[in-house]
Amino acid sequence: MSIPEIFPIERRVIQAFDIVMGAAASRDWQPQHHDHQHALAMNLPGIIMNTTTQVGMLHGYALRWAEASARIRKWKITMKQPICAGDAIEMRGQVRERMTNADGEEMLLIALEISKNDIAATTAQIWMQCI
Amino acid sequence: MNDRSQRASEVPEELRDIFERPMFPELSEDVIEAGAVRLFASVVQDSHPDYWAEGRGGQRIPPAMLSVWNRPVAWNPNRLHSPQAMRLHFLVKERLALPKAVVVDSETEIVGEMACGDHVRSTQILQAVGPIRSNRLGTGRNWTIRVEYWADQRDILLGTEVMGFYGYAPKGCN
Repeated sequence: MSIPEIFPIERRVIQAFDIVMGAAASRDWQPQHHDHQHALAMNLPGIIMNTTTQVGMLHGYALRWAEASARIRKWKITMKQPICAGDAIEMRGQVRERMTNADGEEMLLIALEISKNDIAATTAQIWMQCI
Repeated sequence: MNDRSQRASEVPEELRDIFERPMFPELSEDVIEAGAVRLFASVVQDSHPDYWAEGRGGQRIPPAMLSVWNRPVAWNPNRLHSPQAMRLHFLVKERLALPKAVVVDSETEIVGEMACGDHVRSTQILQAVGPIRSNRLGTGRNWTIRVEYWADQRDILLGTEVMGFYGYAPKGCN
């Protein structure tokens, strides 16, 4: 499998639609994902993108640069700053390590980041199996 | 994966009886299905061909959707009250009297492949509770809950998720 070591940056402006629909498509009915006033009462800047939506965006980003047969086996995600409507985000990724698992399969450790205003809002690591 | 485990004696008294105990076994209301996969892939703009192939979408399920199936719909005419997802998390919030919470981090491992038609069974376990601290959101505590997900009919482990929460009382609220 041949993929670039550093992924091209992808940029996107997050809309309220992305946050609300991401929460709905992941059946997450917590009000901080759709109710602006509730989010403000939580000392958040506005409705925030939920974890599942962020993971889905990052997985899609990583798999665009791998072959379709690749499998994501594990991930860790840390949310440092909320992602809100109107945020212009950048997604970055790079291969940190190539390894072989106990079954002799090639695995990649990939570091990913969602940043806004040049500050990392979310960081993630994924372990991808190359099939 | 369980590097945040702690001894029961370090856990706040109001949570000791539920610490490290598998709780709230749940079976998904709906099965894994292609339409839900396409809706999610559309929202996150994931172009993976397995989610979009004409007539056979959803044969492969986005791993990010592991936890989705055990969240009930918000309204159902056949029940009086909507059950909450992650009931253990809400029990911890209630017992600690921390009205608000956000997810801070999460670690997920996929063990088996999800498949269309699977009902998903899950169990929640409280693994760790941190000391009282304050940040820009308010004063509260961190806690960690591990969730195991099983394909019910096939009885295979699909994966595990360890979620870190920060529960708090917002500044200015008592």
